[in-house]
Amino acid sequence: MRRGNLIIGLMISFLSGAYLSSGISVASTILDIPAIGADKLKHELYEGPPMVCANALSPIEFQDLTIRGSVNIPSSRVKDNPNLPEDKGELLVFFCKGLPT
Amino acid sequence: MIRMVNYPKVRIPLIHPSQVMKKLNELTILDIGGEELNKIGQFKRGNVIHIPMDDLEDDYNKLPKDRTLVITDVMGKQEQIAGRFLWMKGYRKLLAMKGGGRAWFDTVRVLKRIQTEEAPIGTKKFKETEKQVKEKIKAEPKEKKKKNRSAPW
Repeated sequence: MRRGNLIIGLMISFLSGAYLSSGISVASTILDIPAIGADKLKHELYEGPPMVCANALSPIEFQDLTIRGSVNIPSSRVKDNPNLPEDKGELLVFFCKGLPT
Repeated sequence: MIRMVNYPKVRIPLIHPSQVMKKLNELTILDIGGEELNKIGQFKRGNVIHIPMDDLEDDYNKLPKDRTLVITDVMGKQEQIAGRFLWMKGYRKLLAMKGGGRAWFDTVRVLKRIQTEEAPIGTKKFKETEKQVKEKIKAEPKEKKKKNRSAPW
């Protein structure tokens, strides 16, 4: 069954790569965003170079409880958000609630 | 961790989707699921107000204070905090949909099946058919998946 799924996945990526070369590049970039652990984030946020730690929840939840030093960028308002870092080379970490998958 | 606003520590009572269905005329569904819940299904029954969770802070004025609001998100995770915010703003008639929008759409699916078999709500027949239909729905998607997997080869 797993092998079947893998083959289907490869076929889909091959077909979409053939027809939508731009689309597949976007998809692969999204999947490649790495995860950061809590300890490392704490170190980067309070001791490392400037970075942006963004809470992707709503303003209501952001005001209730958030990480010290984080900003609010709701998931539906990411585009042109003023809280995004001006320097695109800066580390940008998003978090919300729940366990990572 | 930092807390900017202390929302009142109230627990919004949960209501089961089937209870909402029975009292549909007395209740107003507040859909805070936004785009994500819209992908799962569309509300086609009752009074529904759509305000995504991200916009609730700005647009809560649009909500009526005299009607009972059933707060509904995607999975039932954000309902309590939304309810506590609305409580702070003076809303008192609040309920939270148990299991969120997913549970609601599941219930709607079950009810559609039962209604075709003509068993009124509250009777023994209704409960029996409800059980049968739920089992049928559970069994069906697996069969479909099997068909899809074997089809290309």
